[in-house]
Amino acid sequence: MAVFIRDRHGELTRQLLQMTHVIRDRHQPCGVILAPSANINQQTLDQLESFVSQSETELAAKYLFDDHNMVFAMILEERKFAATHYTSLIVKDFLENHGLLQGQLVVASFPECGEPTESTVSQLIELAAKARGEEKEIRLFIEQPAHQGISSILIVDTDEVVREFVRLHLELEGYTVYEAKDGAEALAIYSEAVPDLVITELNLPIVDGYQLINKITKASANKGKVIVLTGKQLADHLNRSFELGAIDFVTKPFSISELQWRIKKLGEWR
Amino acid sequence: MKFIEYYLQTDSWLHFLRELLLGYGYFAMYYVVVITLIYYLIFALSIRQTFPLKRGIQYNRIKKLSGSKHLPAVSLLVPAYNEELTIIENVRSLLALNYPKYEVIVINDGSTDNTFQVMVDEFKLEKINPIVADHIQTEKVRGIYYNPEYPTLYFIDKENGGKADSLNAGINLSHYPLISTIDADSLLEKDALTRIARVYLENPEDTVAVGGNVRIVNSCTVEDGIVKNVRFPKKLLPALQNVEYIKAFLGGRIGWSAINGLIIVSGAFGVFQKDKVIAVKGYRGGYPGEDMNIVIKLHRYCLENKIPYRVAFCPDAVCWTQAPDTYRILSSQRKRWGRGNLKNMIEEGIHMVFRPKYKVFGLLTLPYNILFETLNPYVRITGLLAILGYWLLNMTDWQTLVVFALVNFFSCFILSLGALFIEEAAFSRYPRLSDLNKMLLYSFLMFLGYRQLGVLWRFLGHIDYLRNNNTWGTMVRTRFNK
Repeated sequence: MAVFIRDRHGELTRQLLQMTHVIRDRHQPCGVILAPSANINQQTLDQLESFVSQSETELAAKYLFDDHNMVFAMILEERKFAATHYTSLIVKDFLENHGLLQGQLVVASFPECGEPTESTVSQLIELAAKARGEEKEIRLFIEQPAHQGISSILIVDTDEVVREFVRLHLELEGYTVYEAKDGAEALAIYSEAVPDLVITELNLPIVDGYQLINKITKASANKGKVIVLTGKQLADHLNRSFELGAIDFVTKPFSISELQWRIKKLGEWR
Repeated sequence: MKFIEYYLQTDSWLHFLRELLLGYGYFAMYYVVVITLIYYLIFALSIRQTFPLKRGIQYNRIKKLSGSKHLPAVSLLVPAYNEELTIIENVRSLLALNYPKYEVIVINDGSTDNTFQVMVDEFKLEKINPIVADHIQTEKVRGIYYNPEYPTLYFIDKENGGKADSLNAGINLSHYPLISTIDADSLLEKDALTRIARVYLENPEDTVAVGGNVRIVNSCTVEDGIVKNVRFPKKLLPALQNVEYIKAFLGGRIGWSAINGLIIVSGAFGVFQKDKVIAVKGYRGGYPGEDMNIVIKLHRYCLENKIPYRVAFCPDAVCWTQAPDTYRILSSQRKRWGRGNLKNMIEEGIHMVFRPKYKVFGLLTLPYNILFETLNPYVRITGLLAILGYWLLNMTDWQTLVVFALVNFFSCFILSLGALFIEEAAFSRYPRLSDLNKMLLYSFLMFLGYRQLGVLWRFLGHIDYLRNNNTWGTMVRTRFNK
C-alpha cells in the first residue's frame, strides 16, 4: 500500500509513530527506511512497490512520501534490523536507477535500535532530512546511548587489581578505557588520548591525585572531567578534591554499579 | 691479699689457679643456663603471640581502616644527613602512604652534599615563617620550607647536630599528637602506618610507643618506592643480617612486648606519643643509640610517675632498610651500636636495674641487657681464656668441650629455627621455597664466625666509648634496585 502525504507539517512523524506502534503492539519488529529524494509521484511509488515485491514476495510494507521534507519513507512489518538493511539495498537500487536518491539512506528497526518514542522518531526523520547531499550510502541508525558525552575513560590507580576490575566492567559497557599506574603516566596518556573522563585515586606516587585533578581541569578549560575514586574518606580530602575541580567523589570500597551509574549520569547531565 | 700470699708462700699458686678456674667454670655454667632460660622464656612468649597476631592480621580491615577518620593524625619525622641520592624517591614514597591524615617533616641536618638543593628544586619549596613551638632546645634552624602544592610536606634546614637533634627539631614543628620516626634510607610499606595505628588504637591512652618491623631490602626490587619482588639477599653479609633481624624482631621483640619489657623501638620506624617524648625532654643528642635511649626514658618516666603505659611492637608494619654489605661499614655500624648500648646502660640502665619499683623492666629487661648483652663480650673472652687454662692445666678433655659446644649450638640453633617458624607461620614474606632454604642455611652459617665477629665488634665499640670516640661512623648509600 502506498500513501501519499502532501504539505502537512509533522504528518510523517505522526504516521511513522502510529504505524510502528500498531506493529509493536503485536510484539513484532518493525523496520524503517528513510531517504532524502527528489519529488516522487504516486505512480513511481507504485512502481517501487512492485519492484521490491519481486524479490521479497512476503513483504508487508507501507510506502510514504513526505513532500514537505522531501523524504521518502518505508515501513516494514516483521522485519528485523538485518532484514530491513537487506530490503534497503533493493530500495537504494531502484531509487538510484530512477535518479531519485539525493543523499544517504537511513535504516532502522524497532525495538532493536531503540524504543519508537516521539523523540526517537523525530530524531530519525531529522537525520534523514540532514542526509540530503551526503554520499549515497546506507546509514544504520542506533538511538544514541545515554552516555553520549563520555566514550573514553582513563583510570588511574596504583593498585593493579582495581584498575583491571574497573577497566573490564567499563569496557563491557562500551567505553574505551585507558590505564595509568601513577600521576605522571596519567598526564602523559591524558595529553595523548584526551579521554572524556578521568577516574583517579588521590594517593599516587610522583604526581599525586590533587595535582592531577588540578592539571587536567586547568589544561582543558574546565572540560576535563575527573571522578575521584579513593580510599581516603576524610572531609578534608572531599573538600580539596571538589575545590580543585573534581566532579564526583567515590570512596573505596566501592560498588562498580554505583560508579557506572555516576558515569552515566555525568553523560546525561552534560 | 693474705689469701694469695698464703698460696704463694706455700708454693701452691697452681692450686689457686685451679680453684679460680673451677669457680669460673661454675659461674659460666650458671650464666649460660640463665641466659638460655631467658631466651626460651622470651621465645615461648613470642610463639604464644604468633597465632593471635596471625588472626589479627587476617581479620583486620586495613583497606577500610586506611581511609577512615578514626585513625589518629601522625607527623612523620625524617632526619636526613647526606642523602641526596635517595631522598627524593623516599619522600615521594612517603607522600603516597595509605593513611588518612599525616604530614611529612624532612629535616636536613646540615648535610654537606646537595640534599638541601635537591629537595628545594624537586618540590619547588619556598621559605615560610610558621609559628614553631620550643619544646626542646635544638641547633639553629636556618629555615623552614613549604610548597602549598604539597600541603603535607615540610622541610626543615638546620645546622648539623646529629640525628637526635634533627628529630627534636621535627618535634618542635610537628602539628599532630603522634610522631613517627623514619630513617631517610628506609622504605615504608604503604599500609605500615595504618597497621601500627591499629595497634595504637587498641589502647590509645596507654600506648606510648609502637615499634615497627625492620626488614632488609637488599636484592629486592623497588618500583616507585614500593618493594615489588621480595627476595632473600644474595650477598653474604646482608643474608646473615637478614636471619639475624628475623630472629631479633620476631623471636625476641614479640615476646618482650608481650610482657611490656621492650627496651628498643627501632630508629628506622616507630610511633610515639609526642607529649610523652617532650616530657622526657626529647631525644638525647650527641650519642648514637638514641632510639634505645628514648624508650628507656619513657619506661622510667611512666614507672616513676605511675602512669599506666605500654610499649608495643607491630610485626606486620614493615619498614625496608638497606643493610650494610661490606665488612667495613657493617663493623662501624655494630661498633656504634655497642658504644650506644654501653652509654645507655651507664647513663640510664644502672639507675633502674634490680629495683622492684621498675617492675619487669628493672627486674628482667635491664638485667638481661646488662648481663647478657652489654657484658657479653667479656664473658666470651674470659671464657676462651678459661678454656685455654683448663686445657693447659689438664682439667678437661676434648670430649667434654665438644659436648658443651654442641649443647650450646643446638640450644641457639633451635631458637633461630623457631624465629623462622614464626616468620613462615604468620607473615611468609618470602614467597620462594629456595629463599626458605637459604634462610635455614644462613641460620646455621651464623654460628661459624658471624656471631663471634658480633661479639668482637661490640667489644671494639666499648673501647671506642672509653677512648671517647664519638663519631657516627660511615654509611654509604646506594640507590634502590630498579
